[in-house]
Amino acid sequence: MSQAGTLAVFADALISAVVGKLERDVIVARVKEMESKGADLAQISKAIAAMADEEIAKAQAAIDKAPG
Amino acid sequence: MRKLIVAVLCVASLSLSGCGVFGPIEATPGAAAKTELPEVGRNAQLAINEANVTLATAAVVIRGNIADRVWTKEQSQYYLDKVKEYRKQTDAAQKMVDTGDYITGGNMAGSVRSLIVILHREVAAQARKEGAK
Repeated sequence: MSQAGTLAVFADALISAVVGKLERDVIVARVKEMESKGADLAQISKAIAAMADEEIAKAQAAIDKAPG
Repeated sequence: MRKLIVAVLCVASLSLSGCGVFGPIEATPGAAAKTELPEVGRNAQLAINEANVTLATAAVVIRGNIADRVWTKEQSQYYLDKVKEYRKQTDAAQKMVDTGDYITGGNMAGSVRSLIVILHREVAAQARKEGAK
């Protein structure tokens, strides 16, 4: 299965279930776009690492914003 | 009710260890052909990618649970701190792979992945507990 395909399964099972289709589409589209531009494994790996950092930052922002 | 639904979704989503989420993340054949990594390095890189995707997922779940007030601020921060700690470890594994130490990098990524799976189980158990309230 391709990187985008695996992420699609991942997104279907998790992201879509938890936060909705929009989030899923954003992540899968990001990887697909890279693949279509001929990104290699190193570039895709960097994108996935950046995605992890981005989601961590978003989660931290949500926690900081939460009351209490 | 909304809290329960979110908790159930969370548990369901975190219980998919046999599905694609935790399965190997493979690059496209084209991407594999372009990379100069030897097989052992490629496997280490895929293990790191797998770990990072799992961490991104955990962060999304945490964000959803704090936004829907399923978890308190403290609970969410506790889990996110763990995710951050593991992310540092995948970064360290990446540095190993980048410098050609594929075995150490791959082993580190594998260890981190095991820790993430434990964290996911913990998160699922917590969500189950919260859902039952």
